[in-house]
Amino acid sequence: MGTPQRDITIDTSKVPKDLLIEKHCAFLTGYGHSHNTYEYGTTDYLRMSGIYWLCTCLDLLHSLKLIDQEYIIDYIQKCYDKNSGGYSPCPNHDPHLLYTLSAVQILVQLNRIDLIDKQNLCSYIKQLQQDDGSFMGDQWGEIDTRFSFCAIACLKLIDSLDVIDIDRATNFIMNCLNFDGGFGCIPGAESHAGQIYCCLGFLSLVQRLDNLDLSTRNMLGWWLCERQLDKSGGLNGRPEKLPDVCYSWWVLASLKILGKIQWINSEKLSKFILASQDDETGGCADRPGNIPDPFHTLFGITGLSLLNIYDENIIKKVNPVLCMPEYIIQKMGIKMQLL
Amino acid sequence: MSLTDWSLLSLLSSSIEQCKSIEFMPLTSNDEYIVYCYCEENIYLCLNLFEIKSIVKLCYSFIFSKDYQEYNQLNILTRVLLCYVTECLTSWNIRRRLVLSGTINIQKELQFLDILLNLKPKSEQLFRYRRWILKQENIQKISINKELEICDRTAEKHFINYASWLYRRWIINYLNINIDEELERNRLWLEKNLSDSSAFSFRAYLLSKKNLNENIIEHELKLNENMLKFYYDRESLWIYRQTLIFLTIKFLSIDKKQLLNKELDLVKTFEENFFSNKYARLLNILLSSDGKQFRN
Ligand SMILES: [Zn+2]
Repeated sequence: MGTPQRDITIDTSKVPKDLLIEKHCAFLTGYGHSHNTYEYGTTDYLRMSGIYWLCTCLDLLHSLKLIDQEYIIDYIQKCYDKNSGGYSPCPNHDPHLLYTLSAVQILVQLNRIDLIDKQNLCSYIKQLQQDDGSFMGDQWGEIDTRFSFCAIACLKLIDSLDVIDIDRATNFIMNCLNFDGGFGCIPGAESHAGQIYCCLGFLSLVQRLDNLDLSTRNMLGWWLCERQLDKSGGLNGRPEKLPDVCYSWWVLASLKILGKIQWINSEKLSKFILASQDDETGGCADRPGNIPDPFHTLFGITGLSLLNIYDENIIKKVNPVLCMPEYIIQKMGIKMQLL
Repeated sequence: MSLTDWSLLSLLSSSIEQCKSIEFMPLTSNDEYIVYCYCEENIYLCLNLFEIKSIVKLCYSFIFSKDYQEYNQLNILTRVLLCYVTECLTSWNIRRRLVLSGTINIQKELQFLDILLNLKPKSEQLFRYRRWILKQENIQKISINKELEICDRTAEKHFINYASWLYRRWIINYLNINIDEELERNRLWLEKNLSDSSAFSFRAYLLSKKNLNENIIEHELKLNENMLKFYYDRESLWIYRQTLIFLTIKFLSIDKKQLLNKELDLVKTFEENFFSNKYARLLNILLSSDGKQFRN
């Protein structure tokens, strides 16, 4: 008995077991400084999201003051495309819904929502909606449930949900529900934890989680829990993938929305996340021993936040749907549905 | 930016255009000159891993300068940049405009993408762009075999390749490919790639497109059972079996209890392991109709 599941082995004598907050902050601000140049680089095409990961993670760790907020606000405004109403990842690049959401999230977090041209942003999002309710990411027509989530999240943050056709948008999301209980990026596409998060987040924001009947919720809960690997305790995004820290977020947040987060073994998972920290440079990698980056650092921290292992004085509470500090969501009075 | 910079990028661009295969490797430079690439008989091109940053920077500085906005210049610049940073959507968008303007020949562009897909077999933007390109082409000029071959190849190169299987779903629908023939191709592909859950997920998708009846499911369950006899330690086979059961419950009006009990009996005939235990647990949960015992 005991054929192994595809997984990794962690050398428990060598990996970090405590949360390395100061190192993470130093790691993230180091990244912040490299963002503070207008030099062209290999990750320009997603830089706006990079800044969002950075700001959110530092805020959750009570260290937002460590970065130059004025510079970031200036940067975001340089990425604003007046013609379309959307934001690009980097000056000169094309605007896209993915980076528009990141830009809006940062502006909300930095309390500069006044800089958003609401009307222009609304018409940008509205014209990306298709007859079947889906959303294109930009003018070139690719469709993805991720873009539906971005559209709804942006509108929710500027309190303008009513400018789009919510019924049709919801129908499209429901058409992406598979018979295994998961969601894919378009109707019929393979279930994927990241897409499940987007679809559940969408339904939560438009308060339509009741579209999922009891058996679907259970099947989906089962599918999500199966992502936890037996040996390492980490979560993967699809069957037979290796565990990856960022899935602590997509899977946990989904379970949180479904009200089933207790289905995960939180002790095992938190050990896995802590083991993925780099005790020399700071930051988290996708799995123990790999090179850390801001993306996995954020999702390691937000995962730990959802698991409720640390006091709020150490990691602030994160909102499971918008992936922003909960105090901001409360302050703005944004309502969503959690089961 | 200088004339020599421009000639460097032009040279890289024409090498990329001519070669059948591209790779990144660390190449040694010295104080006197920097090695950017190594080209063998116009077939094989090796780009220097250590010079990625400098080339990317150079490409961007030209692409976003006022003086290099002619169509053929942008064609050269984005061709080079996209070899280095394949996920750069803005550069793909520039190429979309070049296709619409007639500067880029669609068939030639498809070849370029074909070679890039060997380098980046799971690039989301590459597949998105290829879909877009095919929509611009006369459908009679699209080679079904070529597209299927690209799907096979990228799926083999990268295990459980989400973008590749997504593309295959699109191709099947867009080119109206016969589902039964595709099921047979999929069966043969799986014989050599038994652990690929994405290929099984695709198979379930194909089945769901058919007019499902009990015979089809019965046959499919039997096929899976025969494979499990030899490979009961493959998670993919157990997950596929689970998917088939979900599919049956969803689309066929059958006696659910009978089906699940039959499955439980079958599981007992296999040597017990991690996956068979999990499967049995799921069956038992599905049998308890209220679903409350899903997790404790
Ligand atoms: Zn990851």
